[in-house]
Amino acid sequence: MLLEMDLGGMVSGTFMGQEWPVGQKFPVGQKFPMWPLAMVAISAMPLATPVFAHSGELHGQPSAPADNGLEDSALELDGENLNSEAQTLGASESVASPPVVAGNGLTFGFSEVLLGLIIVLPWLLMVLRKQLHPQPRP
Amino acid sequence: MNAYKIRQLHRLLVPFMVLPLLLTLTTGTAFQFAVVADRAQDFYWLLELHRGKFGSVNLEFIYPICNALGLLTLLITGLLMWLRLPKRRPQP
Repeated sequence: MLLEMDLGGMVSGTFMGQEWPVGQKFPVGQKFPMWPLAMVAISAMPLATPVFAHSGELHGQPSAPADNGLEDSALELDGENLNSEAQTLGASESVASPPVVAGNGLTFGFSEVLLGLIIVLPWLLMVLRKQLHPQPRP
Repeated sequence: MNAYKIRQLHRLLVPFMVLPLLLTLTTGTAFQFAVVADRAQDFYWLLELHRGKFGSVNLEFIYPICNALGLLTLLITGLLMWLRLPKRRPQP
């Protein structure tokens, strides 16, 4: 396949859910998908340059409260017609009255856990598939 | 590209694409519900997940493209496999 790399040499640890004996030669020519490594590399890029990732904003929160434009309209009403004082007061009250909506940001860590799951789940699925449908040995 | 390679490509892509696509469609649908309920401002975090911003890890520049390419490949390979399915003959 196109996105594969060749691993060879002495590798120990866990391979596809099975313990690989220390010192045993890894099967040369074995193909592995390169996507998880690419995903980790891409994920590490914003961490290395936090300004690039964040731009100084808390994630999950809008950068600035939305302008509803009521204040300007209230000023216009006040200048144009003094008789409509009640309307103007009503408008200015409505500007002051709505409480600032607290940002409903994600709790820190949930998104990162989700990303980790996206990276890890393919391997889990492949291991699960291998266990459910073991290939017959030649 | 023969049928075997198409099937291999489809099989290879499925485990990698299943969660991102699931996440994209659930967050998109949920945010649309929030918009309909006029509470979109409370659910911008859904939109961020939808676009690929996972907290401090910002993948907005690559996540939608990967998602689109993966889904397109799955669609094409799936369609090609479906077109090459042999017709079942009724058993006597």
